[in-house]
Amino acid sequence: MKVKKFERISTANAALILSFASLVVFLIVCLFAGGVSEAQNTADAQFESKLNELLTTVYCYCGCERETIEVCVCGTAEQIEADFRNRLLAGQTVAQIRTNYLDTYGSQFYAVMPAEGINLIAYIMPAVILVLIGGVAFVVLRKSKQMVKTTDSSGGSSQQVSDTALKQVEAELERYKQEK
Amino acid sequence: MTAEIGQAAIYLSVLSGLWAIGFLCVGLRTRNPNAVRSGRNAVIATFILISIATGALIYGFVTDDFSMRYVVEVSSAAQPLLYKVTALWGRMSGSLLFWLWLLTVAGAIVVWQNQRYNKQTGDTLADYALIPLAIVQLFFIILVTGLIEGVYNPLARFPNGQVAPDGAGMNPLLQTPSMAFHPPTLYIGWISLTVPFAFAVGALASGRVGSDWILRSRRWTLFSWIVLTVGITLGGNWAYRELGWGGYWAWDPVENASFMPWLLGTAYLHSVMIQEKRSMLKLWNILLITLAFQFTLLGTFITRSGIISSVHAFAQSDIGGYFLGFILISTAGVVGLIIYRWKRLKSANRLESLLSRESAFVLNNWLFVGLTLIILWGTLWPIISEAINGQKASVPEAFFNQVVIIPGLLLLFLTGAGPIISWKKITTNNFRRMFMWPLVIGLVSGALTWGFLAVIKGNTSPIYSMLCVSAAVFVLVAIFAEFYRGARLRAKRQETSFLNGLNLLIQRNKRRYGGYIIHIGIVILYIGIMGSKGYFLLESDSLALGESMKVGAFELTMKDSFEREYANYRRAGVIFDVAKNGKRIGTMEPARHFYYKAGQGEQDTIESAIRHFGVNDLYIALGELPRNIKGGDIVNVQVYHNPLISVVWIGVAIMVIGGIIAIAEKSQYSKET
Repeated sequence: MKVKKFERISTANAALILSFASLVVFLIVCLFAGGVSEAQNTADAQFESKLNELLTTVYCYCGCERETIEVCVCGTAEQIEADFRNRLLAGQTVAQIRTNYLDTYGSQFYAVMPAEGINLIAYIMPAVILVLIGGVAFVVLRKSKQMVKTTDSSGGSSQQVSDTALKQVEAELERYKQEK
Repeated sequence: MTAEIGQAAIYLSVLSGLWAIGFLCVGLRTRNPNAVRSGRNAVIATFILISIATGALIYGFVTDDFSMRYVVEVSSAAQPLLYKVTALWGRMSGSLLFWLWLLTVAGAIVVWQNQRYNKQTGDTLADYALIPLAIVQLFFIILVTGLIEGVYNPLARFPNGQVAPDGAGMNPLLQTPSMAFHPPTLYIGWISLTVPFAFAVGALASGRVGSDWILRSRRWTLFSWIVLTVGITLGGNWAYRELGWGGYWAWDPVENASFMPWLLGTAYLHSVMIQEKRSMLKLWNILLITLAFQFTLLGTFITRSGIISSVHAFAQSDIGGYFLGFILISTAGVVGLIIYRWKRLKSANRLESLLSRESAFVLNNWLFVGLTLIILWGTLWPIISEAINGQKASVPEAFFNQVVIIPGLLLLFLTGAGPIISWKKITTNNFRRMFMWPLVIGLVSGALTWGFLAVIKGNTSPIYSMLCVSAAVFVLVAIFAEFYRGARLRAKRQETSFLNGLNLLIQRNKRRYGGYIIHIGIVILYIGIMGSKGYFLLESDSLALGESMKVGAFELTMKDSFEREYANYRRAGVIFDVAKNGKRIGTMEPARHFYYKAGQGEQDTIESAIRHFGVNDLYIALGELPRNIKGGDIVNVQVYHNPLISVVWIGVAIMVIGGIIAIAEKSQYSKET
């Protein structure tokens, strides 16, 4: 009998370990297979880095909403990229080119929201929201904990009884109406 | 004639809607069962009338009735039949009619579900719930009548008997299989969230604010959650395949609009458990489901009013104001009822310890609601900043990623902590028994991840990946241990095998263990998001035929171009030879579709080529195609290597399976009926 029990637990252990291990292996394989790797360097790293900074920090104005020049595959993005490339070759700085682009098409095409000026409010507010809601939740929980129980442990069912009672009263009234 | 019948049905439904509201109110107030029955019948009548109107519009699409304005705007003779039918929600008027039809279906199901229960018990809670449901229906009926400014009747014909020779065609971006199913699933999810809201209002109106209304609408809430999960994922999948930017989520306002009700619905699914088990949080649950419902309308307001632009907004008009008005009025109504029932909404029990499952659920709700408000804040920031300094800011994806990451990781941790912490109060013994091993294994896994990323791969900031893996492994160990303990006990009691014990365990408490399976799905989803968002590679290049480019271990050579004609579009693209680590593995054909009729959309769409390598994808999108590729013209190409992207879809599939298991459990109310 003991042997049988031992066998059963052993099967159980095997099944659990197998399923858990397969999931962990799956995750680890996923992680490795993900090909986590560094970006490739190019021959003219500095130039490409400047161009990349431009391409990733402004949106294309073509109508593809919220797609940076780097990501957008429309013809307009191609033209803008070529223009940026020429301007960089002509000696303009990243800041000059970007300012010119944003002055021409509007500040809404800036794909970076620096945490400065008015945007600082945007960055601070999420923390404020969490703290405020958390604060309220904490105060309510603490107050709830500190308060002496107004009802005993059957309090929960008292509400259900009240619901049931209401239901019965309604049913009785309806029956009374129908009989009448 | 069909269109006229449909229009007449819409006008008649105004009367049936008013009839339903009036007779239900009077009948319940005076306890007149005949009046209540008449109100219920009016709800069914509204469903029949709106079904006739919807059927008439679909008939107009299928028969190419180009005397109808809406048909001309979103369909064309050459459009495939599937897209003629899905054109129903292709623009504003039709999508409102479709939304309304789904609402009337929900109303009819509520009447049908409760008929037997009502006969047996005389219970009227569902009748109370029908009133807010009928009010929401009436709001939509008024919108589609065409009698108000900003939206026209979708069944209206052109004046003076004019008939267009052909339609303009539907926006090509909508002519894809995932877009055929994405909007209806979202609508169904939103509408099924209206039912628990209606039950909450019904509970307030009837004074029965106990757990009855929660139990009666539990399946609706779970159904809504499952369908919204599927709908949001279909939207992400569509964006991934059709927009050509290699991603599936960019915190676009429309994406956010669908995500916020999901977050609130998830919070609600957790908090109702406290009311069911401990008779606490009654007021909070009503507020939460009201908020979730209002966010379904707020999403429509944000995306349809045009106040914020989006890649997903296909139907803009002036109706945003009506939605905002309805949100304000309905919220005021709920607040009024809450004040009226204030005394009954007090909790029957108190919290015994801050270290308990109740507290974990409150913490979970804090994070879900906080996340929702943070996303709302980021979505509305362009308007707020414009109001402050006159400049419309654009909120980048990076902002959202930055601000949601910490609450997101905390939520992931709670996914494991919630199920293993005990109700009322956790003891030191309980803590040691349930938490110690999951925490230790989680921390070791995190440290190993850090070592792998920082030392072997040279990643400079693997902190979030490390925390994500730590929390994910913690959750998996905690949940697997729960399954193991339960199944072993069940097997021992029933003297059966472990697997049978596991099956019995899930069968006996589908809600609980379905929920745990959802949690496993969430962990998988997190890992997928971490990999695909954090470690993707992107290379852009301009290539002529015969030229090659490299992305990671892959080398792509553009070997040919092609053009094919289809019924309503031309497909043009290039063929790439793909090699991995120097070994040829096949070809890929990225393309662009040029639609002959594009309606309100762009004429051409990007048709990315995607090839799966295990759970990773190689993804190619083309820039604008030059005229003569074979003659040496250059094509702009973007290639992504997206690691773990399939893990995202697998995670969602597991979540849905868990949801289906959980919804299969019958509540006490279901058993009675």
